[in-house]
Amino acid sequence: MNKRENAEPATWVYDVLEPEQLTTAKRMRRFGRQRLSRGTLILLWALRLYVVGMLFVIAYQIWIALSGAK
Amino acid sequence: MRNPQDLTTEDFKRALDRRRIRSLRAGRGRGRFWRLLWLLIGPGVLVMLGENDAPSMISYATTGAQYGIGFFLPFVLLTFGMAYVVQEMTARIGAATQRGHSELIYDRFGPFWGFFAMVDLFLSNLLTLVTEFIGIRAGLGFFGVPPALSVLAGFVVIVAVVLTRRYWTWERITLGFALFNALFLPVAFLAHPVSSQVVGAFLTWGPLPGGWTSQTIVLLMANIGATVTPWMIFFQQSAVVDKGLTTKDIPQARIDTALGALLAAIFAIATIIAASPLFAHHVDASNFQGAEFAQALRPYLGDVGATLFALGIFEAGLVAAITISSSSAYAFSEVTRRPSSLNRSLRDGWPFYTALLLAAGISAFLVLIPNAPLTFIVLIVNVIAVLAMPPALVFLILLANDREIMGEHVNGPIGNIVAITITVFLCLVGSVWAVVTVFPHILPA
Repeated sequence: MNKRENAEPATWVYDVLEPEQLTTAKRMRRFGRQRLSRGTLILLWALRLYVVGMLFVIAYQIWIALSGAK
Repeated sequence: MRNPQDLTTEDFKRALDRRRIRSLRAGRGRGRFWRLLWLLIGPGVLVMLGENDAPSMISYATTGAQYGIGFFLPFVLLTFGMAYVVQEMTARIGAATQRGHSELIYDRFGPFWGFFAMVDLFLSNLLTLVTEFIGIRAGLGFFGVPPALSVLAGFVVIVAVVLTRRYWTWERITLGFALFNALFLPVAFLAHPVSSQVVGAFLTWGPLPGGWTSQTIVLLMANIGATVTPWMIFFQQSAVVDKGLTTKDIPQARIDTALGALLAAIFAIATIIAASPLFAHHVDASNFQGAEFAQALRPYLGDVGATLFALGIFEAGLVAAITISSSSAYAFSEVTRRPSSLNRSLRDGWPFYTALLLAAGISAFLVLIPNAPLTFIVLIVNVIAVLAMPPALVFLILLANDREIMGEHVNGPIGNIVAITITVFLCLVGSVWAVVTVFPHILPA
């Protein structure tokens, strides 16, 4: 940005950017919490258990690979 | 309330970029569409070519070496189709909400679910970043550069690009690096593939030498993990916001994402073809890293082909290291409510830049630890990416259907069907991989 633009009242910035793009707006306005349905919660928990279960499988795979490498 | 004192350097820099776009939209004249596209492309191409990273290119090369030209060519095209569907939603959410993905997850689903999403992201990002530095080391190692110097060179480039403190400059420099992903294209031609064999592979989805084995499932997982991963979601949404794209730019964001997916698919397929001489000559490439591929391909592709391959692995690692460390920094700053922009000054944005450089620095350091289990990290990084994707996709689909934040830009029914199908597919592939891993004799070895 050049000095002239800094010195001028920065109205051009407000003209160019949409209100939601301003950093102040992002800081001030937060989206509220979404109410999750029972089905969504069950799905999220099921996927969390899926990831944890898969981590055990990965650990098992690494153990097998390490055993084979020895 | 308009108070100019509230404006930050981030606002000014973004406004400068937006002003160019606005004046171009207001004007007339030839080439307006292409000039506008030039200004608006970036996050989509970067995320797709960034995902053609070192472990991905090694996975594609392993695929070419073990299966030649056949089933995996159309399969890789399909995976990039899936990547387009996922990333299009990401770009749309970013443009409609002007918020990064981590911030939205925390705001809409709360810190409990946000915490899990962040653990998935930071763990997979750290491991992936390590593999990028392995790629940088392997690529430059081919030219005799010592490991410490290679890793340091990669880190210095990341620091130099970030220190521009301007999203636009950062994006253009990284795009410039990313175009070197095309190095795999001439390497593929040097392999002298039979064109009828390539066309036949796309038409028949075959051959698949040896049929379905446990090794096929592992490579299937690796190739999926090479195209759809959690960091891509977090990176593109934050980059869309940082670039300043709005809902008016969604058509160009779609072209950007589609172009990235197409280019990345072409280069990935080129890598499979480039490594196919190893299949034809029965070379065992199952434990090859980047430099070993280049060495092994030298008798079939010549010095030029081997050199381009090694350079390609270096480039793949470098571009991904830049984009993935940015993804970690965006997520960290969004969750901790700090400024999260490459347009910030170092003084305002120091937590963001510190997170970015720490993510890259720790990974670079880990690669240099003697006897670190780097081979295992390369082995499991794409698998972890696939396994972490279903929860990330569910959050993405929920956000894309959230009318309160998306307004008229919510997912349509077809978009939802495709996105849910991809999620179910990834769960199924992950489950099959788990069964084959625990009970390896179910399928032939």
